[in-house]
Amino acid sequence: MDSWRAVIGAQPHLAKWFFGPDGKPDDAYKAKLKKRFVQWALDACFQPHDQTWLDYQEEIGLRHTPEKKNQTDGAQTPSLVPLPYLIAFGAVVATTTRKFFVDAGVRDEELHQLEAAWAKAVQLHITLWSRPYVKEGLW
Amino acid sequence: MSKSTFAHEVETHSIAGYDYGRTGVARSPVSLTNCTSWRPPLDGAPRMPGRSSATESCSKIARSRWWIRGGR
Repeated sequence: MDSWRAVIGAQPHLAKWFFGPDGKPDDAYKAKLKKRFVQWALDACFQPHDQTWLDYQEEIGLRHTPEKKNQTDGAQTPSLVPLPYLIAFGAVVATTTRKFFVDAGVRDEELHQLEAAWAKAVQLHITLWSRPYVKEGLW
Repeated sequence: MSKSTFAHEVETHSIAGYDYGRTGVARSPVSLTNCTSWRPPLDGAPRMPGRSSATESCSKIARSRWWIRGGR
């Protein structure tokens, strides 16, 4: 999780969506987001795929758009994470897990399977998060 | 193995703004039926023997090997 967040922090075009009106990172907001991001990763692995899960992916998507961004935390960061950044960051999350799986003792075919499973799970979630960005009738 | 060994069993009520399954969360216009209609290509990748989907593989492997060891 920290490595993923470091990618955001290191790239101004990603980091700026979490800056306050003073042009500096809103650390309180980011700390809250981190806890939810960790829980999202757990949910991605363990929650059943039912309507409750679908609803929460819609909620997460909305929390990246003007309809709900900042509301949950009372933050004053920009009101949008533009969709291209959401999709591009998904690639980072999807493809940078190998070291952690290897460190956990996963090897060979199981490693490939797990990497593929995780990448597909991330793709699935990013797709659902993109739903609120889609024009009516184009989903 | 104690129940608390599983990292996913954390007390989520302590996570501010985490509203999974709670009232007030948006209703997705995407139905499970709709999701299923486009989801198969994502699940069409290599599967662990005897496991029904990539996501399930992820869940089961994570449960058995990664999270238990504190890989989070």
